[in-house]
Amino acid sequence: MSRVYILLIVFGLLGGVGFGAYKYYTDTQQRIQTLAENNAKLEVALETSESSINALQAQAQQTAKLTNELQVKLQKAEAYGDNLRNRLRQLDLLADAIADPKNLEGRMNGATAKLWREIMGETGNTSGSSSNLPNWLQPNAGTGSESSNTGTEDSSTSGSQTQTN
Amino acid sequence: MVARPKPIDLADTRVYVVSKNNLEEFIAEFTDENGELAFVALSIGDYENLALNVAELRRYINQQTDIIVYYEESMKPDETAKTD
Repeated sequence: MSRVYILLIVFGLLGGVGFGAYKYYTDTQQRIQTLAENNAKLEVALETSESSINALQAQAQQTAKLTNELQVKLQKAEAYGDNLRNRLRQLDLLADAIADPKNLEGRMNGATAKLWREIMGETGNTSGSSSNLPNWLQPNAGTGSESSNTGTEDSSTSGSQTQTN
Repeated sequence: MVARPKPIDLADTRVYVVSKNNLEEFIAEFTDENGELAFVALSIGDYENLALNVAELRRYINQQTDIIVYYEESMKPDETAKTD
């Protein structure tokens, strides 16, 4: 009889160990699955994060490039006024007007016509910027100086350019 | 993208330079051309100021355009992000 009890106890113990092993196995599998899912989610999050960082870095580079280009353009826009101020300081228009008014008149009209055309061109008026010079300007009127940004007159010393009808 | 304003269309303007040396000649020619002797006169200094004022306006217009172009470029979708 005692053998039967011992056998029952042994079976009971073996069953308990087997059940424990089974529970341990299923629980471990469940954990592995959960961890695998979490890992996949983290990988996706990491990819998204890296993608966002790359996009932000590209955006920052693009912004820096555009900002630098803007600074150059803003400086360039100052050139015309700066050159004009320098030219006016160099020249003595009053003396030129007394010495040879027709000459100064032609230079002023030529530079003015050129200035209007340049401004029209800068705003997109291509036909206006390439339009013919007014009839009071001779072809040799000297439409501005060599530089396009030297101001209201050039340093030409050619004679009278203004037509008088 | 908002359309740009219409380009400007400027008319030619004629300047007469008159000193005591050609005053009589100017009066005769001007009257012959325009019929009446009436004109707007500027001193050399005011003419220089007018030219500098135009230069300032031109600078402002061009810088304003540059800034608009900057914002237009900034708002464009990133081409590299599209291809990634």
